[in-house]
Amino acid sequence: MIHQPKLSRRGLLKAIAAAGGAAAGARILGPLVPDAMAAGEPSHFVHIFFNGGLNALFAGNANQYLTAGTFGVTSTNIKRLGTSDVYTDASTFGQFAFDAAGKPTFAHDHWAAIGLKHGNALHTTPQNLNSGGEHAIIRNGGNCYLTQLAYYMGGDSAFKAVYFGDRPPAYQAQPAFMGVPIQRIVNLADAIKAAGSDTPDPNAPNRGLAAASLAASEEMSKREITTNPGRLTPLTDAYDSAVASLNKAAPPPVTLAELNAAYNLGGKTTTDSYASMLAGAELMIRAAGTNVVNITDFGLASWDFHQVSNGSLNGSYSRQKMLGQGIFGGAANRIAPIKTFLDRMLNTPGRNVVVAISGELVRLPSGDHGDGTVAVLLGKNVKQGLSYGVTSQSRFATGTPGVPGFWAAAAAALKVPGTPFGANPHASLIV
Amino acid sequence: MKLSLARHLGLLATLGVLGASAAACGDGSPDALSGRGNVPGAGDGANNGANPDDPNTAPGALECTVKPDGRSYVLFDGSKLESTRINENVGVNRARLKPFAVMQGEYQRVLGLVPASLAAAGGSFDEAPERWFAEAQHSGVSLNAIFDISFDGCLQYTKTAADFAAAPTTETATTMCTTLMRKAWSKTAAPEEIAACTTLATTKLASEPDVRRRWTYVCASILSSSQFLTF
Repeated sequence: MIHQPKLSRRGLLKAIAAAGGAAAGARILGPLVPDAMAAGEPSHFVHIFFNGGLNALFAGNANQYLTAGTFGVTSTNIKRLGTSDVYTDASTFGQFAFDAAGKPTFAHDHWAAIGLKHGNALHTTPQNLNSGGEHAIIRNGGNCYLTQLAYYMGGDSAFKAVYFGDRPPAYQAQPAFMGVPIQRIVNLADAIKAAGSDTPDPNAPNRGLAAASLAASEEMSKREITTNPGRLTPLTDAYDSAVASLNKAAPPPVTLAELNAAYNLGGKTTTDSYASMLAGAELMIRAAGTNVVNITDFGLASWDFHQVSNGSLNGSYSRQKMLGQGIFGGAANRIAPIKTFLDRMLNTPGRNVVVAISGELVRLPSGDHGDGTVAVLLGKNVKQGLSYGVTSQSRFATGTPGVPGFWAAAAAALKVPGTPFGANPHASLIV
Repeated sequence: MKLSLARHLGLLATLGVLGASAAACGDGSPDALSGRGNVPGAGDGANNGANPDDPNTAPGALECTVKPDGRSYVLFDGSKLESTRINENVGVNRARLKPFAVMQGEYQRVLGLVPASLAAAGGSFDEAPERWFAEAQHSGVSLNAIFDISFDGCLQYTKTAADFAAAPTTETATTMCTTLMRKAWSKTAAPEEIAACTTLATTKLASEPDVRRRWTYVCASILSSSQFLTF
């Protein structure tokens, strides 16, 4: 239902991505890849991105808007997390922190709201590819934070970094880092098969022999790829990734039936619904051991609500869209699948799952863009609290850390060895 | 009027640069679409001017080594219209992945049948909406899906034919690989490409006891190669 209006936009974005030689395929890693994490508890990072701007009232600064009633905030529609400085919207993100009976969840106790000021109040768009808030958060100079983090996390996943959504992060093909690319997942059933986590089919190819056959395919393709680097270079990564995955021992089963029931997918396996992207994140973590998952909502700056009527309607519009209610009654509920994912994965024994939920721009009381964002960081190594939030005018204090600070905090929560993104300025909230 | 003039000049300039480019690397009459022609004007090196349809020549160089024999056009800002044109040889770097929509016909052309599993596989390849074009891309996941679909089709292809009743030998594998590659790729395979296929059939798949399934893997491997997946 929501697919049709996005038809041309989606196609356009795909075409743009393709024109840039969109990256595809993850690469089995060589000896240069750090493997320090492989021996311990595997870590996984999921970035849930609200493109266009996530209002800071959701991430943890709701109390800042109470006095003036900005964004429709009242004393009854926000909730405080314990005795911390974290306050969130009750009807939406509050569902992550409290269960239906009002009892605190695991996320409640491991919720850090961290501010980052990147200093760019513009949107990143296909027309503004090298600027804007999303570009600021995703790109680290000529590199991409997502693939960098996936590399530094190490391990042996054949799909170290993946993304869901109708376009690449920051609207353009993101570069691989030290042999770790980021690739798009479009079908859950195929992903399960590639990871070897489906129920064995006696007629299906043997995984080891299929790996040998695809390796031969790659060998046969070498000349073709060499002479056509513009479009075909990513195929090398794709072959390597497929072969590596097929050569790995099959992980514990993850079934489509299980995911379908948990995320209410209606039997669909394509990742063109919001719920399917969250299901895909769980799938890639459990079946493929993926390090980094990026989930960006569909559409162009689709959380960019500037409407004003007796004050900004950004809070109201955001709540309605998150819940698929009101003027967004035809849209999918975003909160339910995120909550499902958090409930199922955040406290998984033997895994360290860290989730960041952010946009790229906070919203000013006028509804306009701020020049940074407040992100929710969740994980077993994350402590409840606020670090560098915004004022009632959605302004960041002097000294608020920039983008590297956000990634440094994520890396610390993931227990990445060393400090690849510099010192963690939010260290007080990381165990 | 000003806009019209600018458009007119732009069109002329574009045609001029296209002509200049053709003169630079494409003298003679290469068939730019099918890759059947020679690639003259690419320099004197042994590896230059290689014919992609000739398995005994190395891939053509990516850069023209002969100065383009065309006109230069200065734009209003002083830059040259042709300055941003990529310097590449004719016959290289033009492969494009086939869209999902044509794969049914492609399998039919090569195998004489369409794998049953292809029908429901549109979602595996992010099939473009009707009346819209989006360049195909492949990830490790989708390549694995292609292999499975090819395997499905190849199972039927090798099911009864006498050619696949015996285990591959170097001779039979070479014959089968050469023939199927030519058919699937619409061009002749290079010796090292045939060798990769033959080695797969005779050595790497030796643990497969069912000889027809062994041939099936070989067939699926060819149909998962970039030469089959691209125009």
